[in-house]
Amino acid sequence: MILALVLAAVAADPAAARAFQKCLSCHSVVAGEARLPGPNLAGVLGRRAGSLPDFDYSPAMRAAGVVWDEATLNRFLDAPDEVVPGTAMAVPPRTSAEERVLIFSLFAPAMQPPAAPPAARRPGR
Amino acid sequence: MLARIIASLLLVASPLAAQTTRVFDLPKGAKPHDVSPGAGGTVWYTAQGQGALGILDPATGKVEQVPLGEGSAPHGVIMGPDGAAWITDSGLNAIVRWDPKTRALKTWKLPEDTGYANLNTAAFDRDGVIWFTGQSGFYGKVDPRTDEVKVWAAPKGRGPYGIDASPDGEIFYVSLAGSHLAKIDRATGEARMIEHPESGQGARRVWADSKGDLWVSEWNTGYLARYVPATKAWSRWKLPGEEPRAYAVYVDERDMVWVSDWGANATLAFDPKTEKFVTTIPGSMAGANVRQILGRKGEVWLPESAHDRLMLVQTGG
Repeated sequence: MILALVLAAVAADPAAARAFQKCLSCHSVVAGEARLPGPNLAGVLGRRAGSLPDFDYSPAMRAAGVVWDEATLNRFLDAPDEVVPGTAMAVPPRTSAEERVLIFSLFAPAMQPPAAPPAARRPGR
Repeated sequence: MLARIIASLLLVASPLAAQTTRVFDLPKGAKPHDVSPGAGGTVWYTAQGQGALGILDPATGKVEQVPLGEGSAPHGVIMGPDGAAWITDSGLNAIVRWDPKTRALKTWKLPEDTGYANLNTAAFDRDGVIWFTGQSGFYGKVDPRTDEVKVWAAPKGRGPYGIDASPDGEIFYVSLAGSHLAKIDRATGEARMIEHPESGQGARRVWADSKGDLWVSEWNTGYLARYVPATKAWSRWKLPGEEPRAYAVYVDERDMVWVSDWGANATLAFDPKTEKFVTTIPGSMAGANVRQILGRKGEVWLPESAHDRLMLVQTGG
């Protein structure tokens, strides 16, 4: 479902898709796509940095104590070594603020945190 | 700037005998990604963090950086058959040539409709044409005689990373995300995939030895692999340690194979004759992040991208 959503978004916004070309060498926004050089970005908003269980983060990223939202991602992409000193993503492709707005607008749905499971119904007394 | 030089002697029981390592400090923030022996005994490196070509004089430790232009973020550098530095500049989305005699820069931009290729690494074929990879899913060539630039979409899309020429001047590259080796048909531009026995291994860099056998570093699995084109046979050796991550690979003039391991923060030498890892060169500090290896007779150079340092291993060759 998310893949379909991503493909539809790319078709709808080629400029944003072109901006995301700076990210896709290493990252995917398709849930479950693994074994890329960078961590999967599906559901990244609200996620603690360095916390995906199936990705081999740098020690710096695991210890960063950052929770990703648009503001922290923006700062990190602008100056990664200032936000997470020692990150392996030391020199990412440089994105302008305008490009990041496009990327977030295109992929915000895929980057949203996964929906919480419905609360368990309290058994009746 | 005069670099601080740290020298140490490593006594290693191996066919390589005693080796000396020296460490050269570079400007803070340079983030050297790739390195290449340069003109006149110098060593070139890509200052990816500062948009420059770095030039180190190992004799004096003096370092100079040549700015490559607004937006530059160079990834790879090699010496061309013309003695110039040829740079894959991912920030400029261009191939850049720097002439050490005239100090002139020349730039070949990729076609506009390519978009951001994330240019990675380059190699010259036997006709003097430079071939390059773009990690966003491209490979291509620049013919310096005609200034023609051509780009192709890579099979399996994103991933093209390391590239090298075999001794007879044919071009091979590996795909990190696509986990395969490919040979480029230089006449047609078609990339023919050579499937690897293990899917998802993350082939990161490739280097040809003197016989034309191809050595591949596997990032995801931590193996060093060899492909023999004559027999189409693969062999693989797991790097020592609990969680090896093989990043860079290089074969020196004696056909010793060097591979950097991020898991162990070390660079290893592998002897194909005994099929043993025979030497370990630790990073100069924790988390050195050696992303590429290159050398010349008696010298193996390791860019420590995380620490703004170059390490020289003098092999006595």
